[in-house]
Amino acid sequence: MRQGNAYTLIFLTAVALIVSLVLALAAQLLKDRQDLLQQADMKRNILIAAGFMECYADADEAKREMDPGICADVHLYYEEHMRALLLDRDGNVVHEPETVPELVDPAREAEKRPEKRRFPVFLRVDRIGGKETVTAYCIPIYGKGLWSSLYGYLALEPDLNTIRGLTFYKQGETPGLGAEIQSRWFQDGFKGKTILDEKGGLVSITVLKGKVDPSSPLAAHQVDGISGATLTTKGVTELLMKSLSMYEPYFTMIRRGGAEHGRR
Amino acid sequence: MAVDKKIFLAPINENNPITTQVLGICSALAVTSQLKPSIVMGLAVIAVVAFSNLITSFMREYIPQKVRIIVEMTVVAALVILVDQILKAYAFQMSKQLSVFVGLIITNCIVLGRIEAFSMGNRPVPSFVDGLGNGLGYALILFIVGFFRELLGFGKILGYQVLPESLYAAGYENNGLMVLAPGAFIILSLIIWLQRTISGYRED
Amino acid sequence: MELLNIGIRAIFTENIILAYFLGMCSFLALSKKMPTSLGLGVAVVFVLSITAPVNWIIHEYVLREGALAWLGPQFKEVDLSFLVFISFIAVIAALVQVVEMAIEKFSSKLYSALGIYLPLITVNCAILGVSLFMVERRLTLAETAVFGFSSGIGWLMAIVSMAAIRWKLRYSNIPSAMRGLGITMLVTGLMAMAFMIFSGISLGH
Repeated sequence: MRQGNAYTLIFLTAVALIVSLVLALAAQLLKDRQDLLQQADMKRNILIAAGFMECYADADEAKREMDPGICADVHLYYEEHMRALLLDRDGNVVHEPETVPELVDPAREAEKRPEKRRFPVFLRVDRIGGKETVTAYCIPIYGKGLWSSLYGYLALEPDLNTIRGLTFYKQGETPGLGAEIQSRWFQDGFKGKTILDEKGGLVSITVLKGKVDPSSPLAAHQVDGISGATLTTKGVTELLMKSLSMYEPYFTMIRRGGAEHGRR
Repeated sequence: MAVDKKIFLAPINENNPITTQVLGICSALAVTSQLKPSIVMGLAVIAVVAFSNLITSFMREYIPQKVRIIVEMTVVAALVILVDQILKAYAFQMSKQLSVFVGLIITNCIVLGRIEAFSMGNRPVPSFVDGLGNGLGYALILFIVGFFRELLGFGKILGYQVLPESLYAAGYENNGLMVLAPGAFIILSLIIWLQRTISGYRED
Repeated sequence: MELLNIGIRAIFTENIILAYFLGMCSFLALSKKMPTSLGLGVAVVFVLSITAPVNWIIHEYVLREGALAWLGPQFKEVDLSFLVFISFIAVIAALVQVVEMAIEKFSSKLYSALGIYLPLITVNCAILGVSLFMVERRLTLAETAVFGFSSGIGWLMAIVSMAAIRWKLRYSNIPSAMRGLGITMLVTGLMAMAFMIFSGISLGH
């Protein structure tokens, strides 16, 4: 083995160069495919939250990934049924052609100054009696779990009170425990729950430790917990309240009948 | 190919990286709460150990002594990044689950351990085989731990319910502790006991 | 309050070894003797307290998507996050080298006791793991500093406790195939169970 200092330096530089090249090349080559998968995943989750379970109704996340042929091209389906809007923090619709609502990263938005933040909302539009009607409002939800950050979508019925569906599309929690937030049984528990109390105030949903007592007056705002995953589910409760609060200005406007639904 | 068969077979049993060499325990335990991530992790490690052994063995004549560890780590880190990028592109759901742990393969003592112990002093092909054997020995332990943790902790294998409903009706309950940290340690200690009883290896 | 919470969690309820399984190799190999364990633990605390904030700075201003915007607006799209693993481990390796030289100068007894295990701090999964968690959880600089330091303290506590237990165990009648690694694993499992009692504690929520 050669020992000189000059040789060492040259060797290290060569290694650094080759490694950077190989990695940059790989990252570049794979990037498009990765982005496509990520986008398909997000759109699939928006559709599921908004109630398209009949198309993607599998308990197993993996099975969903393996059977793309069961349903139409997720991008096509998405184009047909979902409209995306971008809001500012006061709930006003903004028009920013260079910002793609589906690609808005809630984590990055949280780091921006409040007046610069953008909040995407996805509207499910169906043809009812020949007219295009909004049948669900879907918002991104985001927050901290135990091991990782949790990303998902929450869809509300047109009354903006009852939950249509909930999904998590990105989490790195303990398999079998916190990761169960991605399972169908957990997410189904949110359907039909309400986020407002009788006076119309936002109470969001609490994930309990244990099972919900159906006779309790708060039951409509609670879901069963996951045993062994208390910290993850605590994170879920907190992020739901935080995310819903951010959209309250917009939802309040719609409940009063004034907001613009917009067309893409 | 005149590669000694023992290079491949030894690390699967007598010289198992986890139970005998005491390497690679960290990341082994965290992902084994279910069988599927255990398998994916095992495959990732096999790939990294085998190829880092191969590459460093090719380079062994040229690496300056002073920066040996740094160069080895660079090779390992680069391979892990590649594995991570490939997972993100071809097994998206799995990559989401394994995120942090794939990165931790870099610090998996097995990888650096085998480079120092073997590929620095041997030719590329035997080094590759050594990497495969050690990776496989590691993956095997992961498989066993993952298998029992999922079975005892959830009653499932690979997500499919295996323990019959009748068992639960009779009063059987899933052992929640198996899914948490202590369960992993305990199962591993029992495997070590079994494996060392079989192979006869004893510590000083 | 949040900082205190992070600190307490990192030491007790989310102890880096007993809850996250990180840093096991040196923990298992070196917990036989108390002085060595103490010395290694302190070294780990030191390395963690420095590498976590340094890696935060590098991630914030060089690596993450849009980080290079301070160089000029044309760099806003640059995303070097795929280099995170390499650059973090490089920082860790460099710092461990410095620590090694410092220990050699100040306490040659500790230096020879730690031997090969000092450079092995570089590959201690706990060190890299803490930096990766910091990125994953998007901690601020202050939170990162507290997180790094407390995780180190948690690791120190675990290894010192283990050394104490193993010292007491050395005359116990353990089956021969269990001696060494086997029984240590079992004891770690019991310690992990014990630490789980802390999960009921929460401050300021």
